[in-house]
Amino acid sequence: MSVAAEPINEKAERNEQLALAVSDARKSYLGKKALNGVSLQLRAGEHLALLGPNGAGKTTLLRCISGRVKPESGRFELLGKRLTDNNRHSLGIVPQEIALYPKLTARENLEVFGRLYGVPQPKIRERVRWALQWTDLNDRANDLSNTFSGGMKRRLNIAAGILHRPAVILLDEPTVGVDPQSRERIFEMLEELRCDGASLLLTTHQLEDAEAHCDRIVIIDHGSVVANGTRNDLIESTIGSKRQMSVRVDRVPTAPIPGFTLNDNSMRLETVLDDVAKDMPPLLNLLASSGYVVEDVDIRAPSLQNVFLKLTGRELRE
Amino acid sequence: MISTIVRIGYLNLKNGDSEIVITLAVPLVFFSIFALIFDNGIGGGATGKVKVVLVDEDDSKASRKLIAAIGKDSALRVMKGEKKADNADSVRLVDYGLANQDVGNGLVKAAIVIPKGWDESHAGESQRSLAVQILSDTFDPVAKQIVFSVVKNHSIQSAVARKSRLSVPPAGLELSNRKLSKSSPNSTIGIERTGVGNPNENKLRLRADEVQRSSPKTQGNEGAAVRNQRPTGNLNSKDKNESKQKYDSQQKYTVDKGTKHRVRKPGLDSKLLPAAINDGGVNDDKTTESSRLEGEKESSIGLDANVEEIDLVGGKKSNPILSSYASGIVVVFVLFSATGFAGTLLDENETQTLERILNGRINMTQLLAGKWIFIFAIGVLQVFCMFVWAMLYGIDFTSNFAGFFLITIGTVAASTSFAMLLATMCRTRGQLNTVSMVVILTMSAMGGSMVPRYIMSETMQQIGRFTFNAWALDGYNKVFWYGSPVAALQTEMIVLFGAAIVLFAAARWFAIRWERVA
Repeated sequence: MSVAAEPINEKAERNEQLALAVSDARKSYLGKKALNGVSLQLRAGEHLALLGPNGAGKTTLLRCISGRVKPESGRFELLGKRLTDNNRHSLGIVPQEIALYPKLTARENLEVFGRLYGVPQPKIRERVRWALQWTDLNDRANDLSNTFSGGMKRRLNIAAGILHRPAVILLDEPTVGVDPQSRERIFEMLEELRCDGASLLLTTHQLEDAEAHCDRIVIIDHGSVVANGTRNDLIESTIGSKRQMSVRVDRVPTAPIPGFTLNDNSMRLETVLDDVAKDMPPLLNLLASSGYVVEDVDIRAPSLQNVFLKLTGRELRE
Repeated sequence: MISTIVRIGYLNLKNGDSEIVITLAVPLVFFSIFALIFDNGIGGGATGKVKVVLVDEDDSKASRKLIAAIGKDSALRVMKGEKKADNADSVRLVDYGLANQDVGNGLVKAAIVIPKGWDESHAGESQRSLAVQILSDTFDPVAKQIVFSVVKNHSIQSAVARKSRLSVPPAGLELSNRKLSKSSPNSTIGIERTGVGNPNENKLRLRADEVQRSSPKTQGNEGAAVRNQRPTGNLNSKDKNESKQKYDSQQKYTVDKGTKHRVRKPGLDSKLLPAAINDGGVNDDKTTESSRLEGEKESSIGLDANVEEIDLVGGKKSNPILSSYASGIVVVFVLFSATGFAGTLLDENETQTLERILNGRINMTQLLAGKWIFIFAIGVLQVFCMFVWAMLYGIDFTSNFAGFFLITIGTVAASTSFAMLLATMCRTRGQLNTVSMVVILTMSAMGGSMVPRYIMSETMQQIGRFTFNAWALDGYNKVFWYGSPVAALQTEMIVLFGAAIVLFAAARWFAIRWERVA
């Protein structure tokens, strides 16, 4: 039970290459493939977002890594070593549910989970003090956790999983069900962990969060990785550098206009531009010559949402 | 609007996984259990046989006949002893010391003793006729009454038989079978005496049917045919204290300071002959104990069938029913609270806290062991609080503290493991609540926590042995009632601790599903 937690930076330096590596993970439930040869890598100090629609296999993958689900095949490595029950405690796991004791105070919750995760007795108080400060819950330290707001519970939930200063942290939907301010606060906390060198693998349904706070994104669908890279890599490899142009005219077009897509009973026209500077002026001239007055022009860069839709054919929340 | 509320209630009931079971099925289950208890137990005419041992120190022809009749009575079960080598029809007998010991340790409910000189003391004009003794254990009042009735009945018949051997009828004594037949068509024994000098002997009618009614199981009618009766004078003037002193002087046993010693005499107990004896000094009070103790009045009937009850165990102890119920309540509530605490496993599973815990440096065995220790400690505390409070009602757990402590930890250990087994077998807290309520109340009913097991049928008592409630209650009874030493609790301890280990192992096996999904 009592193993000293090494400083995260030391761990990361020692494993410069990969914090976590999964190769060809496979798992089926009742004949249905939940994981169909998933491979991914998490680099030291990296924040990696795992995206996928419901049932894609994200949680199964996290549970295979955490040891709660036994995969049929696959290789799992943590900090360059095969992941076993002996070194699994170097993982920090934050479940999607609020896995806290509701009738314990914030301080008591942190103390018990610190002990369960092997924080040495002399360091418990120090780690709890740090966690309360980190989560901004100092003034509520002695309140029962069931009296907390959703955002406060989320923060405490994350803190309870990392008291032992793990090198790799798995977070399953860490911002689900919280307001935008709390989400921002949570990502600030996670950013602090990056400064300590922790590597994060998180699942989320918030594409904006993944875009804004993660270094790399892995999209998983039907148990397989369908895309893997940075935001720009993914956009470039799936949609390219094209831009979406939306033009609003003064009346509903009655006949097709070359180069534009018409929406029924709408004054808004859509088109895709390969090169904005080169392609936009001729199209605007075409509209003017057809007798339409252009009231508004909106040019958008492709988003992760477009990438996701293109790759999976589904909205992320489906 | 109101109908919508009604519909919501109906839909909740229909869709709930346990509400319908609790509402409709559980009452049926409990009715069935209590129906089994009462249908075949008390009130059902099938009360279990009373375990007794027999002692014949007199070893006379009359005593052998009497003890044989008693031993063959279908209401009794003679538990141990040797038959007379020269008489294959004889019943099994033990010596006085063993009988005394077995009653004292609760192994049998009573010992029936015919003292040495019993037959002789009834001969001639002796003023010191000896009584048949019942060494009893008042813990089971039902058994005590049954034994008394059986012994009384056979003693009366023996007395009648002895008198029938005397050939000279007393002046004024008239045997009237005709009258007897009229008064009681079903009678098998009839005695009517009139006109004897003693005003208390004016009238006597023995009605065997009344005797039989008081003890439905009683069999045998030896001495049933009574013909010529001859009074032998006042044979029932023996003082009960003298009787006791006599036995003390013979050092057959030492009567405890608190031992209750009561002589019931003579053969015609007012309860046994409620309607027959209504004058002539024979007390007809059917309800009071005092009437049964007034042997002097009863002696006047002239039949010497003294039965002496000696309460070996009760003494000045508190009400055995009270200590028994305290133990029963303790076991039930320890089970309920243990199940409640064990249910935290399911709460933790539902909130993924269990998964978070197991992701740490603790394994499932350690987790279950930690929970077990906590629940066990709470259970022990609960029992101690209960019995400290029970001291206000005269239950003293400190006098046999070692035994009390051992039985308590055995009971709580078994209860804790059982609760953990239930929790690991169930999928949700709601399921656990339903299952535990049904199982615990069933075990409590069958194990004697709700209804004393001694009033159950023999079969139900044996079935009750499959619940550790029964073993726990037996252990507590030994501690509180019999004051048994620790060594005497060996069987209960083995069963309770064995159950604790086996049930915990089973709980550990069921908990595998939480460790890792294959």
